[in-house]
Amino acid sequence: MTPVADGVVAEVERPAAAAAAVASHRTEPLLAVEEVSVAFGGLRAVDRLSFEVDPGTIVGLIGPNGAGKSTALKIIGGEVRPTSGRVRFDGTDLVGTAPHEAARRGLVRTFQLGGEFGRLTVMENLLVAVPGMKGQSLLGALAGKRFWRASQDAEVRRARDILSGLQLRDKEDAYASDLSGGQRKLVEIARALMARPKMLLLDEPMAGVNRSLARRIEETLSSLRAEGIALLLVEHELGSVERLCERVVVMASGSKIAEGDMSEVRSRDDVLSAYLGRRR
Amino acid sequence: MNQVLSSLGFGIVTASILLPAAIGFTLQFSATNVLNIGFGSQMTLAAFIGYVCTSHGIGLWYALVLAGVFGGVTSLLLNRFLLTPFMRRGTTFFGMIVITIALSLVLEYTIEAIWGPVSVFYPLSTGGIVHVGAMSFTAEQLVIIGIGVALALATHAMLRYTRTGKAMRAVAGNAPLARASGVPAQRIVDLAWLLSGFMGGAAGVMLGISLASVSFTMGDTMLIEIIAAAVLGGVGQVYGAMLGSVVIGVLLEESAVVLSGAYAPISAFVVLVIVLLIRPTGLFAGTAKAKGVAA
Amino acid sequence: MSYYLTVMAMYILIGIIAAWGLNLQFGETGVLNFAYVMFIAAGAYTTAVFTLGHPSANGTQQYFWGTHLPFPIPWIASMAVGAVLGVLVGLVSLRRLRGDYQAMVMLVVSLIATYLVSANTGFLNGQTGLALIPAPFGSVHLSELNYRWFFVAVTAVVALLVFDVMRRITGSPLGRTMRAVRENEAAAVALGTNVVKIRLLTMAVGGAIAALAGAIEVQFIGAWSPAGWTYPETFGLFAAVLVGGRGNLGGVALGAFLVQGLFLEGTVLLPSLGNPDLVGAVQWITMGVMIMLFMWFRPRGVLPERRRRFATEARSRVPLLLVRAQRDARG
Repeated sequence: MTPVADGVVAEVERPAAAAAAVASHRTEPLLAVEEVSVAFGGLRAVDRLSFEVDPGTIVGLIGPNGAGKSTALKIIGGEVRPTSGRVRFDGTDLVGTAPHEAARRGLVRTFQLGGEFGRLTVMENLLVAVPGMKGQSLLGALAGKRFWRASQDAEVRRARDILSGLQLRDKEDAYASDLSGGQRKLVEIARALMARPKMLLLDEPMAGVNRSLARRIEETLSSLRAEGIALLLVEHELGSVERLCERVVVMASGSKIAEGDMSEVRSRDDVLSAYLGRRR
Repeated sequence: MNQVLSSLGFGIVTASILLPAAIGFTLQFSATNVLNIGFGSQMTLAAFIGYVCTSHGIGLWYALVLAGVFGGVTSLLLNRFLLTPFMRRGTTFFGMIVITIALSLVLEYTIEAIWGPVSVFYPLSTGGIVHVGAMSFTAEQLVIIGIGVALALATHAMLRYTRTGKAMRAVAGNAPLARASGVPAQRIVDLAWLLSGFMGGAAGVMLGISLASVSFTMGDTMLIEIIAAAVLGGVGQVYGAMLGSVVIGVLLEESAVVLSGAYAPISAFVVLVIVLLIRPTGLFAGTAKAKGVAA
Repeated sequence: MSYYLTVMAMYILIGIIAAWGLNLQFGETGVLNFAYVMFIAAGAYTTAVFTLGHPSANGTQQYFWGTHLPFPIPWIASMAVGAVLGVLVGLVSLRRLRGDYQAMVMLVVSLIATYLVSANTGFLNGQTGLALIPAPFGSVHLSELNYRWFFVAVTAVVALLVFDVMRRITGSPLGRTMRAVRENEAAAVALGTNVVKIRLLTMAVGGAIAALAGAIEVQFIGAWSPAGWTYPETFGLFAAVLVGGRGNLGGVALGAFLVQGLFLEGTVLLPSLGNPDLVGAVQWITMGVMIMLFMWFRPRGVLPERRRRFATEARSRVPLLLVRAQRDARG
């Protein structure tokens, strides 16, 4: 083949290659948990857990109490370092990086309980999450209001939009510690959104929340998916999980015992026995 | 070499004093999750009570027991009527340490106000000296070693073999769970503070005997060593505290051979820093991790 | 009397400066620096050796090194030492330990530092301490009393500068992040805050401020010894911050005025209770009791941290009624 012909062939093939690249990019998961294990004093809390989350999807992580779901979330969020295994997020391995790195790369975790900054107002709670805001460095702070005021005003407006969407706009000046449990959970989600995340790790966002607030949280979560944010949802309320998640991962005693869509997983005997045998 | 051996003798004495003190400090922490900075001052107060006893003609060892009882009762009362109400109010552990510091100030300067800034002295016998190899001990020192070891063994026996001890360990591990499974947590906590106060009081008098004198700031120095021993052994670990006491006690006296005497407390500090840098959970990591004190 | 007034004014100003530094650590970031007085001492000793001149020129006292540099170089050097020391202490004690354990380690650091300096005579003249430390502004020719008032005025200006720095930090996004770390460390980390960096920053800035307070104090009184920086001194400042209101600069200044000025120094004016040791002891007992009472009855202090609100419209301040009207119209 002559160089010219080679060039022609390449020319012809390029669109196809590009399409293939796009396709492979599409199948590239946003989060890949690979063979992750962690042991506390001989007890294996998480045992060779693997699963993936694609961009813009909601995956549920369910299982009986003590199955290791929260620990798995903590590992993914960087709070707990796994004994072995990898956590790849958006193309890089998170294991071994500083615990605050995950959030900086767009992976933000919420808490089962007590995740709020109690004596900060709701607005302040949200503003803390803004990455790289002007005036967050010592020199920036010393430069004075004039230096960071404009960028903060822009974020305040964005925060108000988010709060309005969650019907929390009138709570902006309230201390987070003065809110109800459900409202705090909403504030946490709002706060996570301020970080402009690619993905959220949600630890039981609907636990202990009254029904109408739970519905609001559910609606919020599905609208987040519409915006292209991926979610990993640990939740006990299986109804919500079924409505929200296209896929669920079932854990029991630290390992994954099933994966698939909810109706499929629900009919499996081992899943049933794991739930019935443990919970009661 | 001889010097090293002879200071090993001093080391054993110091370790024997540290033993009950560090066990007491750790028991308090594991029972209520409060770091009691006032522990050193409580020890000093008990040591002064011991002094009062001896100056009223009570024998030294009876005075030690009385001071221990006094220490136990004050410890129990302080926890019941000062610390527990603050905890019930939801004061954070952050606030609690400020409270115990304030307590320490009050106790320490109450002692100064009563007995003045000068040292007081225990009446010690001028008895003979017992030689064990290159080590030599006074009779009092031998008794101190005996008391320290006995208190450590008694703690071990209680924690291991009695129902109360097992309950205490359960409360230390997970208080809500223990309460849910029928352990009378409040009584166990009371008992833990009573015992730890007794240990601290006894240790205070033992230190006074070993130094031959007692002054109102005595507890400060001791507190450094207790903290070093407790952190070395692993926060909240009674057996860790025992091991830590022996290591720190011996190290303090051995380092006095190499360094000049005034520098001895610094060696405890150096150990503390090294532990914090390398293994902040201490040698026995369990409780520290479970309680979220160190990661 | 006027002479004594300068002393009072000076101690109050120094107390306020030091309390602001502590407030940044304790009130804003939530670092319990129980070694705070050590940073004041570091500043004092640094300024001492930067003004005393070469040790051989001072036959009566020993110190490891010395030079004589004009104002304000010694004060700046003190701040640098305070900042570096803050980072070093922070690196050891703030690692992976729960807050109360960190605090305990700090307390040990403070006690050990006192030992070290007391035990080693060749380092900073040991237990006796350094004396004959020259006053700054040697070129100013004033009567002794006027000179003292001049010194007070300079300190007041320094205090204003420190206030401005503190106001800038606490009012900025950085200050907000600091308070977030204080309120909930795990949540701050989960949002991408480098908590270690924030804490070390507070240790450095607070350490520098403490050292500045020490630098001013040592040149005012002309002497410095280990007896002046024992650990209870730290709690005098903690009491000031707690009583005044942590997280509120005005409150902290008020607390420092009450505790440092009236309480600690003002009692000297009272007729002596006979035994001078007794006065000191009673002061510290009262201090301890006062801390406990405030923790019980008014844990946020006389002037609590204020709620930070954000202007509803970014630039113009629309009257509240108008905003309500708009909201009603929309709703």
